[in-house]
Amino acid sequence: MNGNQGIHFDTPFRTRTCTTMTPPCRYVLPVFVLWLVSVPLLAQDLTNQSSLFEKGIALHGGAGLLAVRDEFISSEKYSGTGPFLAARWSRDHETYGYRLSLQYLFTSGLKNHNVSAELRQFSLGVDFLYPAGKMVLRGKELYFFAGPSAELFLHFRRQNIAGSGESIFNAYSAASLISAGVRSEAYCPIGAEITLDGSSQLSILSFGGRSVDPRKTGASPFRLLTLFTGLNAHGELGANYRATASLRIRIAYRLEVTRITSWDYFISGSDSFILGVTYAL
Amino acid sequence: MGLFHLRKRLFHTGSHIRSVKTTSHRLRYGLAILVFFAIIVPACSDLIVGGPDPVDNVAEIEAAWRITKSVYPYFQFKGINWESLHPLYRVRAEQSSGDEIFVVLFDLLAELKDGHVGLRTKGGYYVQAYQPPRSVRDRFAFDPLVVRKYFDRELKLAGEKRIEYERMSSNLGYIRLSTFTSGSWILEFDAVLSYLRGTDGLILDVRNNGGGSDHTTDVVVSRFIDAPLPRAPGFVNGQLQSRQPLQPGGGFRYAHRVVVLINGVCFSATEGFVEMMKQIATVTVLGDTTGGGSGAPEYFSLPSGREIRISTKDFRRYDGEPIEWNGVPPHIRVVQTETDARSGRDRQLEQAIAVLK
Repeated sequence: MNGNQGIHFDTPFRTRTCTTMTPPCRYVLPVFVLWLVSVPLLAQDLTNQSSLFEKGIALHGGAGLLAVRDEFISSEKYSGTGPFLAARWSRDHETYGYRLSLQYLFTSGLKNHNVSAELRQFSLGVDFLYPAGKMVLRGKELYFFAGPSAELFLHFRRQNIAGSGESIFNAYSAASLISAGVRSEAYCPIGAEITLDGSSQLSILSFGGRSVDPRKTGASPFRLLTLFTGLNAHGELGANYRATASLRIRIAYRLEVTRITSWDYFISGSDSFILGVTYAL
Repeated sequence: MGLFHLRKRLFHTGSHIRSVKTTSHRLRYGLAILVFFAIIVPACSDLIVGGPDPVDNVAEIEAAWRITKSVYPYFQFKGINWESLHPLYRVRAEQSSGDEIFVVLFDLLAELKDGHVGLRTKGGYYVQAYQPPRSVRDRFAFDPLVVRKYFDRELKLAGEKRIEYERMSSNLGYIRLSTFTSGSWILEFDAVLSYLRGTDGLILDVRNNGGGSDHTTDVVVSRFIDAPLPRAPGFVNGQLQSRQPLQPGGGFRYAHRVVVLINGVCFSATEGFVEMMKQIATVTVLGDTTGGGSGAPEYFSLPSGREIRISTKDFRRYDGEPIEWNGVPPHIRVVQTETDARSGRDRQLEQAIAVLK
């Protein structure tokens, strides 16, 4: 018996072995999931849940913990804290809500022992959110929204190691994803002024870019990635307080994970504590 | 009674009591949310990203030291006691954790003071461990945009934009070779030289050319010789290498006078090129001494997957002196500074034109 322990599929023509997902499987499955999630939502009506959907301009700021492993530089983990800034513009239409969001994260204090790196991370997202029903949980109504989303994610890292004389160790590494995915949100009003909310977003199909070694044969810096090879996911848990008719104050926790395995292994994660205001238009 | 009155004074009506209850309710929610955040925030990303693969920093330094010892040709010439550095760097490696080894490795390689030496990160980003001083001095002293001011027309491009050329108004030809990197692009040099065949003289500008392949430089030099040109000596592990003389090549020989422009950024294969061109009777080398490096570097893997780049050969000038550190001096020294380039002046090009007129 050879070392291949894969599942055997009998076909009329030959027996083939499937140990991992073949490239067509990798692309078909995510597209199918995206279709499955998006299509039923198109017929929903937003009006009955419209008051919950956060409309207007939101400015968020905060700080968080960051951790990165980027094997283009080394297999070591770098971690530290850094500020987080975000802006969102949301509005609702008859059947769906629309949101444009920008966020920027920067730190120069990402450390691995006594070696540090600078990190800049930027994302630009577009979300279309459709009402996806409601449920009652312990006497509280929970409203769901879901829909397709697209996101541009850019990650740039620079090592900070000063060398001797004119030489400076300034290795760079970059990663980027242009992703299509799904986003879901849940709102739970717990009083006239306070609403708890949660959201999650998952990339399904991405066009990825990465720093590569040009000497490596076939090492193209751009590739089509699935969620198995290029994942960008984030989630938030927060609470909104309606301070005035047009002003909401928000406190939230955000977890973001980006993982790219198609080139040198890359994973970054951030936990951010966010404080923000939303001005309803 | 007292308590009743106190309560009545504090809360005049039932609605006030409800208000206080609502406020207390909100506070409880708020507190619960804060506790939730306080617990969850510091935890997740660190756990998800996970820990590093173990890397033995001592093994890393030991490998780098041993490889360098076995192949590096310039210890004696540079007066480096490599054995004496071993215990120092081993201790530093023992005391280092994680990516601190980058600093130790970098410093060890920088001891060689060799512009060919450096290291590659695991993914392949190359970091040079040392910049030759003349290269640092001259890096902004040459500006191709300033060169264009000396032409009344736009310069032509060839060889995947690595060759820039045109006739000057005084019927002199100008060719700039920005690199000698290997590839078939250099075969277009033949067509470029044909275009300039009728000129009275040629300026061959290799300033800021950081080198490449000897095969590429051979294609160019072969167009200016009419008899086999012996090679300068080269040593590997102290043994003299025998190399075949360079044969004339191409469809015709450019027989008019040639000025080769050089500066401190010229490095590696470019220096070998300049040294060969200096042997040709029709050629004048003008500018400033080249950077000083011709070690034929190779990459060697370390246990972690990083690579170091180390010089392996000792190529000499025709006078027997190493090109390493010494560089190749010009026939006519013309100093050009960053200030000249900024003020839009190319003294070396002006002097080359004067020599050829």
